[in-house]
Amino acid sequence: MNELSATSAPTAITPLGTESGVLECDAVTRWYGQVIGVNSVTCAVQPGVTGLLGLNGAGKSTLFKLMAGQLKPSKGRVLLMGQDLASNPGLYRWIGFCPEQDALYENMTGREMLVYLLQLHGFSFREARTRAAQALDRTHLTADADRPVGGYSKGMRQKIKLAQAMAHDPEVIFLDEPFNGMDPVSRSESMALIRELGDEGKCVLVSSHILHEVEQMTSTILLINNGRILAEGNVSDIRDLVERHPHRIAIECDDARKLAAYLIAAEDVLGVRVDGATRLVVESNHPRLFFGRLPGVALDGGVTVRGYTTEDDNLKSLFEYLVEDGS
Amino acid sequence: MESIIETRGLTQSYGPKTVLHGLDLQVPSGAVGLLGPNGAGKSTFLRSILGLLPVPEGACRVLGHDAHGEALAIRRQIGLVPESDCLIPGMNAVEMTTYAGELVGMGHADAKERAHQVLYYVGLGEARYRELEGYSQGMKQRLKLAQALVHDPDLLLLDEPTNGMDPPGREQMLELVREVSRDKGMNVILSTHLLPDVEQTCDHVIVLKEGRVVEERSVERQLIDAGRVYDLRGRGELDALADALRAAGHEVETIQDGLRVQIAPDQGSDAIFMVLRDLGERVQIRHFLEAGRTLQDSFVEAVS
Amino acid sequence: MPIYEQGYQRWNGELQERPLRWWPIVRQGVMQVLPQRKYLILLGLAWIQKIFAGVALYGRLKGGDLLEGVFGTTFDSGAPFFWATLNDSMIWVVIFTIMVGSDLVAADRRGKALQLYFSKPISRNDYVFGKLGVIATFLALTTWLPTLLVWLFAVAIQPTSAYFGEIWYVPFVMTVHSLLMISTAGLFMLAVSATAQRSVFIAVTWIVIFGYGFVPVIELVKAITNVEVWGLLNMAGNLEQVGAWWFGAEVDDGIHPALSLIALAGGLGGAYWWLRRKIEPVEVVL
Repeated sequence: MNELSATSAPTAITPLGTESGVLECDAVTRWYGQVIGVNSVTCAVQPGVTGLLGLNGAGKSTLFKLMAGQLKPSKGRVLLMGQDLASNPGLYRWIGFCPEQDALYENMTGREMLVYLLQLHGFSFREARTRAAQALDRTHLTADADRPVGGYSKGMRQKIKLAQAMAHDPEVIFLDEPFNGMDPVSRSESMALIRELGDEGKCVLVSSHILHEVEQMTSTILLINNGRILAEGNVSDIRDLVERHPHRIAIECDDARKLAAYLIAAEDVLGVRVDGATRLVVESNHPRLFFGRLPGVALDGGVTVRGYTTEDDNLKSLFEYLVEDGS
Repeated sequence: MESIIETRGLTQSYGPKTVLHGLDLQVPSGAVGLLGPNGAGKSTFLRSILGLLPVPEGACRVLGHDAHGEALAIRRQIGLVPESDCLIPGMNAVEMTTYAGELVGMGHADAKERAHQVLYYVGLGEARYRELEGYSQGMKQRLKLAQALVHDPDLLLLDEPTNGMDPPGREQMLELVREVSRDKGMNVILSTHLLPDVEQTCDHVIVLKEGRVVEERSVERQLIDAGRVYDLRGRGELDALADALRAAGHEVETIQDGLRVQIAPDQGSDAIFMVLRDLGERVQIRHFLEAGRTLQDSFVEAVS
Repeated sequence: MPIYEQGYQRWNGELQERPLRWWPIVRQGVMQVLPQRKYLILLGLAWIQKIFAGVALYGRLKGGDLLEGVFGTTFDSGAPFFWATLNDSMIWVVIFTIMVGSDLVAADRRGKALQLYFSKPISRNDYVFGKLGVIATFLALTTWLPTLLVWLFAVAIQPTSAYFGEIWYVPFVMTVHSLLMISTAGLFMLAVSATAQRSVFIAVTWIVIFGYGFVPVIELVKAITNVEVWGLLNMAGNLEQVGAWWFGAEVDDGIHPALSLIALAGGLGGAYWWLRRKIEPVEVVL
């Protein structure tokens, strides 16, 4: 058995056009018979955590599998660190994959399973044991590590999948609905773990429908719709570009109409809707100006503001806007 | 507020393992979220409610019936949306929903009529004649809801109803549940690990751990100290903001994307605004809310 | 109201007071399968077999003397004839039990539909009875019903009190025996269907348990140990034994029919117990 130490990955990164990243797609297309799953997708994923989003049937799982090397593109190339994934099986050493389905070794204990998989990657037995213990520790599975996987709860099964995806210290980690079945505490811990992995410089791609959780892990998203990339990059930047939907800010104060009158005087406010005596909803396309101005306006106007929130400043609203406008 | 389910000293075991330890629980009417780590006894509790388990010790009353002796009467009034896929092969949506109604005791004609109505409600109107094998995950979830609602139950039990659905699908599903609960007065118990779903649909939350109730609270944010502690979230020079606030005598703590501010005792809530005004466009606070104990906080506390 | 509510509507109807809880299960099971061409053809064939029986009976009743003259033996037209007719249906019992019954419980277990059934006011016994009813419908249609019609035919063409005195008890015995046969074949099949998933495996296991597959083995064991009682393991054989006994036909001397009856009862009980065990755990939640 070869002994592989934790050396760094090959560093030749060939820039692709103007964007380059650890993981790149170059005009990738994949069809199933007549059905096109992914249609000429070109994108680049940088180190850190990226959320992969999309409707069911939009090509999300296909793109996910293509990038992880589980599927071969019908056309185009998937590049990992500059090298074509399809013709370099050695690259799988640097990929970690946490699938949605459950395909675990039921009779092995968690520890045994991890050690086995690590040995398959080429680590020595001792090295494998050390890494397994680390992975178990990071996923909070040490207490249950020596019980058979068949007896694990759903949450624990997810954790062991997570552990095997990161134990061999890959450069790129693919996580497909990684928290399915985990209770809120485990979810929170796992989200923190994923943020850590991203901070360590790894490329972590999380495919998930639970937008609330994706936005807790990252501000970078990759949104696919109808087989094509619809949006790529930082959530706030994307949000600011969606002008058709001005920001909506709901404000609770002691005199809604008075505050409304003051606010609508300036150009950064497109409209104000008064909702009862104490609540108003403001629409603005210039959030920077508006939020900067708001405290002053309230104080000068003698209105006490009890609280306010931007109603659609979340990934869920952004997703809605993008997909409804894009389809 | 009457309770729809009452258990007293309910103990359930599977062989040598005791899963519920003398559970004393009163589930209020309305929409209730059921939370808890894996193995906490949620599934056992739900099975007990459905009368699927004998009641060796303690008492369990559901909708006015005894779970021990009147299980069938209880199930006439309950609709279950199970977590796992459940399909009766060879049928389409209308047939399966009609069948579900007949199994509860509806006449064939009634069941068929009602099946169509309910399938439209859950959004399967156009797909209702298609074979179930071709259904997407979202459609399967909706169908499960339809078969649970066909007989217009008094209590709807849902187990991870948004499983596998994409964001618009999840939104629609939760909206459907909220409508029957808030607008039509159906009792709902939602068992899930997704706290945002609970926040969106439920009024009340029960947390189980190791077969006992460890927390019961309303879903609304519980304010830490009304009018005195605020959470500020936004972009810009947050460090400068923190410094300025501290300089003005307030206590400041960093939270994700922002700050938690405890206003100095001798000042009012406008104090924060005064600091913000001075900073102008250097800081854009997009959320300014009284700090509260979220469900996440309660859960973590209850379970550790 | 000019605009009608489009959201969820409450249902103002009434549930049936005392519904036959197992009936929808029977109906659904039968209607899912019956319209298929292959079943209709097989049903047709089963009936054609009985029509031949009717013709044979006619021949015996009307031209018995002639036939005896030609063939030199007496042809029976009494109770044993009906027993033979009913017993000849066993081929259809095998065919239909396998075709209809193999997937009955297996499909529900595969599709996790048990949790649907038992979240409704359906007891475990309702489920068993309903599923059994699906098999029973087909078996009754190909054994009990046509044989009963042949009996009616017989009474119609030979309305003599002597003849009637011979065969008056046939419908009762036939009904009891059919029930026994249907229950045995059906419960065994449901028990196997609740245990395995692949239809080939289910069919073979059922054939073995029901007796047909066991027969060579049992005969061998009987020959070696010289103990006839081993024959009690052959359920189909037991049914034959008991049937012949009730109908007053010739009984195989090896085992007393009463023992066969007890063996059948034991088999029924065992199958029921196994089936109940298999459907007891219902995966409602994880």
